[in-house]
Amino acid sequence: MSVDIPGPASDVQLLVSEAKSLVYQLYDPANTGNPAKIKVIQEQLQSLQKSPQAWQIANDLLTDANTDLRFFGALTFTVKINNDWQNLSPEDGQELLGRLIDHFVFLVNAGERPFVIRKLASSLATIFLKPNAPWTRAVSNLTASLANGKHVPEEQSNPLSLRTDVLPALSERQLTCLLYFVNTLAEDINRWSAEPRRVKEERDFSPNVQDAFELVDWVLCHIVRQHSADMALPEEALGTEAISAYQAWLAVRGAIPMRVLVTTGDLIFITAHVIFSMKIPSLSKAATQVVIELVDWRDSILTKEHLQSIMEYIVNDYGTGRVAALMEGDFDDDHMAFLELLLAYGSMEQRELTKTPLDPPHAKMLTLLHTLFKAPGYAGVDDPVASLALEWWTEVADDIQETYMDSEDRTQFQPAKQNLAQAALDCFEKLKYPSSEELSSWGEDDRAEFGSFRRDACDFLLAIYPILGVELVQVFQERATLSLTQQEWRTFEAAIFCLAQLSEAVDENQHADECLNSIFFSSEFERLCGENGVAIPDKPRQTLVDMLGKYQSYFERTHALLPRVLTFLFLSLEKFHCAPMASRSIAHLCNSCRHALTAELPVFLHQFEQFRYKPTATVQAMERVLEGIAAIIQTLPTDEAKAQALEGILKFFVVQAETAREDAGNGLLEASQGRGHLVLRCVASIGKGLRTEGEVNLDANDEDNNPYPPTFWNTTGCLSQHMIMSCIQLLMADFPVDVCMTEAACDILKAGFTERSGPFVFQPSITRGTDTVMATASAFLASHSAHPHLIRTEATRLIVHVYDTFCWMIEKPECYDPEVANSGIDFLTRSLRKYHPFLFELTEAPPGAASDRPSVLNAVLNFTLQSLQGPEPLPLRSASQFWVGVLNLPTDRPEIHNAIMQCLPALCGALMTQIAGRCARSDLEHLNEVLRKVIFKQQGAARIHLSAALGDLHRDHSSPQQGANTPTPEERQRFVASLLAARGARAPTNQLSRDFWIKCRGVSFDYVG
Amino acid sequence: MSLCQNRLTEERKQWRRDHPFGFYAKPYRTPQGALDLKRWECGIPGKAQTLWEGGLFKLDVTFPDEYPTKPPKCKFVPPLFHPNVYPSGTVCLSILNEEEAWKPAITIKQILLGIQDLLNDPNPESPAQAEAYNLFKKDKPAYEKRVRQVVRENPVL
Repeated sequence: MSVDIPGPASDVQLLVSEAKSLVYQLYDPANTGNPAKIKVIQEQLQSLQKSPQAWQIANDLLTDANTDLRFFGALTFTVKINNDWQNLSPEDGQELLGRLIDHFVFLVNAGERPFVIRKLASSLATIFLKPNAPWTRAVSNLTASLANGKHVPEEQSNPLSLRTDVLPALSERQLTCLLYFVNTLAEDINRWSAEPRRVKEERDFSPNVQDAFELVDWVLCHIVRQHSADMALPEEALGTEAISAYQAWLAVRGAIPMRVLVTTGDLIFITAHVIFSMKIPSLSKAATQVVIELVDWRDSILTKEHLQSIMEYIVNDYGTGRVAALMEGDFDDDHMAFLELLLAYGSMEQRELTKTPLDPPHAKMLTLLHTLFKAPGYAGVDDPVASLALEWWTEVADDIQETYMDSEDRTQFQPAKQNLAQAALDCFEKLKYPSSEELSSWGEDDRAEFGSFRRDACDFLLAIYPILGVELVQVFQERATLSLTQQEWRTFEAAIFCLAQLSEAVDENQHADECLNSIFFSSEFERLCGENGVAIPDKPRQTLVDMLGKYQSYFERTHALLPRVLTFLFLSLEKFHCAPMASRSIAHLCNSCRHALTAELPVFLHQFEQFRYKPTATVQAMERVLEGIAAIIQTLPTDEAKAQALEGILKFFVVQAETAREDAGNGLLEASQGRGHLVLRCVASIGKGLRTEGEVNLDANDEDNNPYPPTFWNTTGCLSQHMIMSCIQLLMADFPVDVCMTEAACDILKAGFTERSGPFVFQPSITRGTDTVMATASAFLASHSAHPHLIRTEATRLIVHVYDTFCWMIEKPECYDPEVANSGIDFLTRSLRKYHPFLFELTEAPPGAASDRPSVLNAVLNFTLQSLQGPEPLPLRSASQFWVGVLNLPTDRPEIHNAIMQCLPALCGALMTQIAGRCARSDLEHLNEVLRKVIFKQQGAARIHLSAALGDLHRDHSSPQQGANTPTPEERQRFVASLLAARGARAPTNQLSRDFWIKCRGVSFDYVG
Repeated sequence: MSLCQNRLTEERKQWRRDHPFGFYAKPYRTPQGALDLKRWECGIPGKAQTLWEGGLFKLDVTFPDEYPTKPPKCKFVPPLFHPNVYPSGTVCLSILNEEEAWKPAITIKQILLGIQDLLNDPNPESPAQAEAYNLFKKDKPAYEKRVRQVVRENPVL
């Protein structure tokens, strides 16, 4: 047969020897560190496994004395069956099956190692799942063959009864190996049934399902009987294989339609055996995991009696013993499996457990559940129980909450409330933070796990608050107050942590104000806040700072507390971990309560003076604190008082700016930039803090009035303005400026744009020279948009500046910079609405320009058209927006109408080339915006120009990203017609463009598939 | 329960059972304490051995009523300095785009892992903010400096 005779015997022997030598090399320890060599060996072996001689090679390897070779033999059979089954005749298939079963029986009886048996089982399962396999009752046939000592043809084994005729004849070892096969088969069937297939093959697996369950039942029954009679148990593998077979075949039963159903009734005894196996130490873990799954899925296989025996198991001595072990810190797998069972069953009985009266088993179960926060160690670090318990109680709370909210009679929830309160208190103990010595021995992972537990605890507290109400806050308040008196800082920290988490629920309303008052008005807290106050360790200080930040609404309501709280926050600025949060809270509280703090200003200024030299005075912390202080300065009654306070602060920064310059002069680049950055950011945030509360309406300016009237700040009080400008000038002119500094300088200028008067409101003439940064320039124009004609000169200067950079980039392509292109176009787009008349009047080159330069308007329009076709995404997008803006301008002005008409052919050309597969996918939506506007605003002209542009498509073959497919003339016509029919509506236009783009690019660019 | 709610309940269960280390994801609660399954608060850690290591970035995920037919919206809070994050904080990623690679089978875990990958592997074809994109393209050292600063400002707890 073809299985045996693929060619001359000598050739086959050569190949067999080659295969053997390759397998030896593969497993040779000397090669393990050489992945390249291993790869070469594997490739050679794979080609042998696919060769015509592979049947013979596999057969030879399987009979070798070396285990690795036998394993490889079995593997080769699987590979070959998968590759060549369809080429075997029915007779050859039969013979192959018989031979493999013979190998299987022989190897089992010879004491073969499990990994070879499993591999061979897998070859058999592969045959079973082949179309037209010569094997229908695989389980029973293999059982019979094992009992017979060699392969029994299926027609002879079929009438046999497994239970009476065959199974009693098998040894424990044979049964274990048989179960290896049964498990492999179930796994393969499950995988097979999940595969998508065009034609679903009609296969009836029901006899095999029945046989498998019968085998499992027989084995488990045997084990249970031995256990009950106190007799020696078979080796562990037999029981665990039987239990996993139970689970695997339940999955087969659930996944595949069968002619003859295995009913729940058929499974009553076998399921009971599995439940019983939880009591057998060697099987406990495997059995428990299966039972957990059944309980989790609320599987209908579990009858009332089954559930009862699970409950009994949980609450009897087995269960309590396991919980006791956990509470002593023994987190062995068996105990953890039990814990999961307890929680799974508890979830099922959740509602029963939180009612009264409870029957004794339920009462006992509840006691167990309440014990779970008492294991030793830190949650998530060395105690794995607490996190699971917390998750369970959170689910209970979520479930109760749903019914509680809709319920009219809430008294029935009394037991539930008590239980949740109890759980909160138990959990509280687990929240205590480790001492710094303990913490220093923790790795990153430990910290992250403990942090994650505390975060989950916060979720739990928020879940029970609606049920327990302010009482919950009170519990933590009492703990906080007491521990503060006793200076028991770990308890204090945990209590403050819990209160902080509850802020989401109570800060906005006033439900918990009384509780909070009793902490914050206490004399202990006052002492804690004072400058020479109680020495609170860093961690509780950090948590307290965090908590103060979360109760901003409360402190806004309770002005009397602000001075002491802010003093505490200022002092906390010196602590490394507290500074970010403390500075944030200072900024927020000073901002929102500025009027209540005017009198405190000298104190805060003094504290700031101390702070600014501390190592924690980072840019971020400084700018927040200054924003807060500036907000208070803004409330001072006179401009003179404001100026005095400001000058005091600004003096420091002018000195710093000078130092930065010196540093730069001495070649200390990094130090000078760092200092420069600090100065500019801080000055900018002072400007932000000084802004008046609420909106200032700049547009209300009467056009006849002088928009730049003399004010205190640009006359007698101009020192502040001078100091601010000298900071900018010291650090911007002739200074190694970096991006961050430029940004900060712009922020300083922008700070005053929304104001009418103040130290940061500069007259246009002062800010000249800083207009190179286009974003600020846009904001500058926006701030004067109520009176555009008054800044015609400035606006035109800016436009001409952009024109210069565009011309320069066109003349020197090597200097092209997409960022400059983008910000220039972006600036023009933003100024279009108010300032377009200036742009469209610039129909000549500016005076003094080189004679060959085009007019400003033409250069701008051409440059944006080019950007639309360029490879750079940002200029492409800003150019798209620019053209959307241009197309939206009123076309009754002839200069605008003419310009658009002149550009339309080129614009349509750019759009069509790009959409025909050249642009990146993500550019499409931006180009479409322009396309929609063209069609909507210029329908008649659009048809002509779009068609013409499409006609020219792909004549130029040089474009590198040109699409793979060229659309036919019909497709092009249809595209234009559909676009026009869509009349610029967004969804259809986008769809049409996308389809056309994919058509041009080739279908492989489609995401679907 | 609607398809959307069912799916989100299942996602929550799956997440609790198995989630990648250092990440967190959980639904917000309303001020009344009820779960709002359509709005999740998530944390994405920077991948080890990248510039982003040591940072934890907060992300709000909002699910539309049509979820899972339509993808959720992912938004960094506060907005993140990154070439593919819009100035509003919204993440630009093909698997989050209904018209691109979104599929209803994509899980929250896959989304968060996808965004974590994106952090250190930006897609220069789809810039979403000029600031980070320009630095990334033109001035790698400055870009990396900014990223390190962002990481410092968003430390893992």
